[in-house]
Amino acid sequence: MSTTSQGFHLARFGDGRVLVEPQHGINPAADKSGLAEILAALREARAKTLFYDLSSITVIDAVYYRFLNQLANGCHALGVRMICINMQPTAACALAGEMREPPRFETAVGLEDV
Amino acid sequence: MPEEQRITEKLKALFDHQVGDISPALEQPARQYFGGVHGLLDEHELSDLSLEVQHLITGVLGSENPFDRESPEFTALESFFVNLSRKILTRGGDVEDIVRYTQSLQNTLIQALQHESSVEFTKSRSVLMFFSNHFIELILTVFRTYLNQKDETIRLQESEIRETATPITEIWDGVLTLPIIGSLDSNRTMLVMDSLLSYIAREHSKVVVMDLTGVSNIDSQVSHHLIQMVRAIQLMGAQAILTGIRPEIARALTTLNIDLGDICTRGSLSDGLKEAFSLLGVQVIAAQGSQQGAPAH
Repeated sequence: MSTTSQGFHLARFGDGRVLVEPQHGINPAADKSGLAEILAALREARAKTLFYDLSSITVIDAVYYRFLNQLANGCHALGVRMICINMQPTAACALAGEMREPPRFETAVGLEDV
Repeated sequence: MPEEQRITEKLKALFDHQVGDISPALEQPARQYFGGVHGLLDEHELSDLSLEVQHLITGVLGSENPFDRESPEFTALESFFVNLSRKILTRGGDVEDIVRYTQSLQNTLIQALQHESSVEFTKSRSVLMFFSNHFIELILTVFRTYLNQKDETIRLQESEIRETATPITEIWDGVLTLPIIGSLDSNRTMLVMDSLLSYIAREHSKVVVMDLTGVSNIDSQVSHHLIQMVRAIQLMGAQAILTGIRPEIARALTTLNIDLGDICTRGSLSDGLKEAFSLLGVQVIAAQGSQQGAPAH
């Protein structure tokens, strides 16, 4: 499976693993249907783990962070493990200073580190 | 724009005067403060310096508006003092000597011009005021150069201290150690965090052991920075271990209501490394035949 929808590229690989790559310049939080589409795709793929690639996201603001947590909650409801990978140092630095609650998702340096 | 003086007869005589070779006289103050035992300028430089001063002052006196301290001629004279100050300070000279030289040059210059023209410039209030205004500006230029040089030195030293005070070392494949010494302010936190997170992203490091043995006191701001650094490391996907927290720091954290409950802590750097190895599934065992625990010789 490899599809592009609502500014996201989804690719299935391995056993129940799905990689989501938000495309450059897209603000997923602005369009709620993006969240629903990802969850639907996860269900369809019978995914066990979602890898959300943040390599193209240089700033994660409060709105984007809320979106990631909402997605993580959705994944949890589906029994899918969500792991954010490739978070940029600038994004981590800014987010660490802003966030008021721990993330609902797991993190890993890269896909190969999981 | 400074208030302009009325042009008196003496001033007119000064501006109309064709300056001859007064460089030997102008060399005296330079020799007194920079030459001989001071060893700041050699004979050649003393001679060149005086010729250049003469040339520049002649330029100011003969300029369209000698009062104008923004004229190209005066700006050139200022630049000369900037360069001279830098040279003297770099060679170990003192700012006081440069200021005294500048004052002495002012007096010598007026006397030399008087001697050359036979006009009593030293008794003219307007001439003295004209030179005084110009030389005060030159002394300010000397001080500005001195302060700029000091600022630059301090900036370089601070940069060096920052770099050497926060060495990030990859002590094992995927394990970084970061000893923190002194206090953490916002600037230093950003600097350390920037290099640490870039290192993690580049090398795919798994664990960071932050050793606080060198931190002697902590306040709410420092503890906030510390927690921010741990959170950023975790967001990058690595794990953070805090080690070496002194009892007084632990007590201060309690007083400040800082909860480190969800942060991995260990008593010593050694214990932190053991935890890091454990997280990576690495086991360190003594090589066959080695005498573990044998006294050092």
